[in-house]
Amino acid sequence: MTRLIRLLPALAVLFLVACGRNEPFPPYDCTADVAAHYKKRADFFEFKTPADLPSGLEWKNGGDLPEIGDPRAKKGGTLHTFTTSFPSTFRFVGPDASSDFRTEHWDYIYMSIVLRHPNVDGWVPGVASEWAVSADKATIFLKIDPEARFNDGQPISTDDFFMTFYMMQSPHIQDPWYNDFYDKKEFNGVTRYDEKTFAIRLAQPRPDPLWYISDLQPSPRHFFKEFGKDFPERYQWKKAPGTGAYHIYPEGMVKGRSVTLTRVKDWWAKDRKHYRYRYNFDFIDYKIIGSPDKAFELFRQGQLDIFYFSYLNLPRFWHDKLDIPEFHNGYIEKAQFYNDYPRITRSIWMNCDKPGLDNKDVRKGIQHAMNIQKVIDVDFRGDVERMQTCVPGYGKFTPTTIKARPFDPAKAREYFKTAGYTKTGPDGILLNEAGKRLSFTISNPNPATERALLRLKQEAVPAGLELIIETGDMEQVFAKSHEKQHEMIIMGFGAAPPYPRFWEHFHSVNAWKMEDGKRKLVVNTNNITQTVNPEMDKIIDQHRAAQTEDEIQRLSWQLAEMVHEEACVVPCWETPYYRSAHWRWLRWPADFNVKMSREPREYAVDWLDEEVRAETMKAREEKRALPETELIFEQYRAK
Amino acid sequence: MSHRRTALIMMTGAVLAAVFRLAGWSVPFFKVPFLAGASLGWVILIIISLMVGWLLRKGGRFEMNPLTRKKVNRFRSIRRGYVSFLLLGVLVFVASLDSLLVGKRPILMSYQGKLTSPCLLPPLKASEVGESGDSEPDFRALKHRFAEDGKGDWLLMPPVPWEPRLDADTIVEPLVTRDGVVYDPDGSAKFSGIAWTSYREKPGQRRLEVRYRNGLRHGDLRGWDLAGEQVEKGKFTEGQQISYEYFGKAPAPDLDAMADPQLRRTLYPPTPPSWSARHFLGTDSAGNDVLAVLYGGLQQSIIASLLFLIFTFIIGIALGCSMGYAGGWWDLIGQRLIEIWSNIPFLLVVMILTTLVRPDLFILVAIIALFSWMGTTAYLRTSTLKERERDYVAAARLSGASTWRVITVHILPNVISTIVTLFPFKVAAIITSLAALDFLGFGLPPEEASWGRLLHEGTENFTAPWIVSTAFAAIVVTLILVTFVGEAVREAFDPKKYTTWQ
Repeated sequence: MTRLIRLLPALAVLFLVACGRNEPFPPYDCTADVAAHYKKRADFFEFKTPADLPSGLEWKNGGDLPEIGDPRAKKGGTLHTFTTSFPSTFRFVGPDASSDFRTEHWDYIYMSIVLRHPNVDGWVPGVASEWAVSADKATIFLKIDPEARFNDGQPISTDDFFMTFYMMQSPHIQDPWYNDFYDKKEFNGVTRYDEKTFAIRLAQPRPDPLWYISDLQPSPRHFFKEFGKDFPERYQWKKAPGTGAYHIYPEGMVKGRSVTLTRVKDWWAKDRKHYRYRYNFDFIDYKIIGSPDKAFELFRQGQLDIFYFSYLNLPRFWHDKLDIPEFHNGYIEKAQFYNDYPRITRSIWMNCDKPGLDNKDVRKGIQHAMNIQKVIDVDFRGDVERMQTCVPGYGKFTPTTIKARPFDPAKAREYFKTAGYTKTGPDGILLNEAGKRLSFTISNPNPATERALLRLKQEAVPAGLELIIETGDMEQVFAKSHEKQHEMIIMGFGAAPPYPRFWEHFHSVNAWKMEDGKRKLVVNTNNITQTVNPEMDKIIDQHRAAQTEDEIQRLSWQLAEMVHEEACVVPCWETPYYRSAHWRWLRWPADFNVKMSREPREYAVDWLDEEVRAETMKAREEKRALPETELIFEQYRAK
Repeated sequence: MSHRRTALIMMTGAVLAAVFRLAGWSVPFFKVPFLAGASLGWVILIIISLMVGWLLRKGGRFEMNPLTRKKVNRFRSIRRGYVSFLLLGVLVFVASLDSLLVGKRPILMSYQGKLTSPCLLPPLKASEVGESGDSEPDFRALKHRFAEDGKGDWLLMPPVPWEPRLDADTIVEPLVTRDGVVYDPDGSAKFSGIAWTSYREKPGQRRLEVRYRNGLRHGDLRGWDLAGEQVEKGKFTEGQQISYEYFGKAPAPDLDAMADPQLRRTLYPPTPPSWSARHFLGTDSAGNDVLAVLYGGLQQSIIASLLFLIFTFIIGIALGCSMGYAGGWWDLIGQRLIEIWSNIPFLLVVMILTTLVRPDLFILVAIIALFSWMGTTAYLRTSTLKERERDYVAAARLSGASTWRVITVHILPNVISTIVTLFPFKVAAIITSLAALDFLGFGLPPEEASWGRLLHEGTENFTAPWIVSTAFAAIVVTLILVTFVGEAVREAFDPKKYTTWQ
């Protein structure tokens, strides 16, 4: 008891300390760490003078390329929209950072170093006002716009880009993928010439090297001064000053309720040619609404201005829920925009290591046993298209000669027979001589896909194949596939221009490695089919090193053909468009959006028109119908 | 009823179940022991045989204790509870009819003069009924073919010709064309939607797909050749062709000659109740028949209730009686364990566990039971504690009865009222728990019929009210019946017939 009494004051002190400390993180200064790192990696971080710039560089500024957006766009107003959960962090890197909301406050907002013009072939200025590419196409020289500033007013300099490399190479971000990517995997190094001029050296020459650096962002040194071991916690809820038109101020983060993006006052690029008609709203208010069905009801009431994201690709929303008077009377408009961007590779990936699936005949049989067409016809009401290859939507790099294997139970049974599955069990499922059932598990990370899988399961029974559907928590299912423990998984990889990638998905180094004469599984790679084909490896290596687009095209076609022959990927469906439902006061350019956009709001070309709002509200009050508007924009549709 | 007769009935049942199993037949009711797997089925049959042996050895008759008889009579006299009990009995009987009532295989089929019963016998191959392929024929389509062929073949489908699981239907309807305007299948309203034609020799391959608005072509046209290659596309506005492009090899008119000109539409699920399509309560959003799913859900609920009662009462009786009778440390530790265990958020833990293992009904009920035995145990402990101090127990112990004998022969029959009273409430608990888990998506595998999943789908599709209303009605009606029975049992077993409140 006396001991307890003696302990009491100590406990009280502890309690007071815990309460009184608003700032739980001790001050820290990483300047010395940064300098030490640059010194240690002198091969990567080079420091030179402007005199060292190579002569004969051809500086470009993309000034002659057309504007983006619509001159009619009006500035101002608040856009009301929603997101399903409060972001778990406002960092752009580190644990939990790659959540859905990162695109909204980071990827769609920041200014690229140089921006790929989303409508035409070419590059326009971003943070860099001028750029030049070395003759060997492995080094990019950049001049930062003299007026470029972070949105807290601090000017952007070369050192801020160096800081990005420092952070991305640091173990403190707890993200090995970035550590790897920003180090020798993609880059040979960076060279500083002066405050505003620097160069980035790629790990290997590329036909158009700008693709590989365009998304690089400067990291404000003054903000990340306390970058250290505790980076994930320290910066969890701090929104770094960015280069883009919007910022999240502390009052814009209402935990669990809403996030508000505020347009930066006097944004330095607001009158720049390719930016002046974009980023039109003063505020973008994201309400946190867990259920999209509930959000739809709020949208219907007019509390949200726009309803988009992938939910609209579900017929339940697009055809049934939007079949309402607000749409028939023209207050709510529907738009469907065919874009031109590599598609998500939504496929069923088979793990060729697993017994049964290591047999190519079984895999080919499974290809013929999947009634993808019926899923498209019934569950998607014919709105989506069958994906034919493993590299959809890459324009000329996507082969037109390959067709996905059609549903054909008889043919599937032939393949299964060749593979030794000759007997039929009492439930119609095939068995082989050893009595093993032709049964495989499909892991499914997305509950919305479950219905399609149930249809595939039902339709596969006539082919004698049993599919076991295992829907689970997304993280868990992905972890399973990263450890290569799945049999099959239905998922898609988000793809990016310019060229299809094969190395990640099909090269044997991402499946197995030899260690002490033993084969060892390589985990955490995207070769989730565990494809090992020495012939293919050779061509993939050539593909990676290819220097001309013609060669890349030839090899891409050849590789896609080989993947088709391996039959380890069942291409499912692709959506060649995106959709938007919005109140008619949300206005869009005449051609709706830009070619390379993936979502309606990605390039921020929309604006609010208060006159149209007043007109609509009046019509709604008077119960007067306006013309029903369902817009389809097919100018960029393939074929 | 004499024990001998009971034993004989049980034995016949067990032998028939074994025989049907070995012959590969799937006979309603008799397949019940094997529902949770073959090995468990044989174990159940062995247990039944042991019980048969015990009953035969014992001989004599089953005599109801006069007190119990009085309680049963009193239960019968409570009309509401008794009628509910009878109705539940009818539901259980209906559920046990299984494929005779609900299923995609015919009860009887006569093909080329041979009479078979595909719903009981091992599956047929399509080649055995004059179609091609090794897979099972589609009997609903076969019925139409038999009728069209007129060769005297026939088949008798169950009243609800749909399977409760994995039997999504695609409804295709022919459209009516009058004076160039397309109307709905019943010819009443002008058609709006996607209409298509297909090839004669390959009905699965579409020839044309055209969007209609108010009976006229309006929107996209797409056309395919027999190999499934898109060969043309076009655009219409209010019946007028705006653009057309042909990019196939063969000239287009040839294709039209190969196609069936009949325009059809696909009715997308969920479809409303329809007598002609034999979806008496409509379909869910995948195209499964709602009535069949409800029926499957009823079967699941009944089996789950039985399993749950067995699990919780085995644990409850064993732990509760031993704690109450032995007392002391065992009782103290047991009580603390119950207290701790009851404070675990049950639904949450079950959700976590079900994401780790892929549960079937047996495992799921076992997991739920693992977190539901505490109430039963606590009640039984109290009752046993009370009974232990009675004179008859002391008398039995004085006359040399073992602990086992005292508990099983003397105490248990006297605490039976506690057990019976708990029965209906346990049933209600498991039905709601299962529905809740399925509703949240943590329950049975997605292909299994379940009320919770149906309810969830209903709440997603308020535009299809037949889903949510029927699922809701099924759950509510069952729970009301069970609760009525529970109330009546409680009242019948209450030793105080009249209570005066002061």
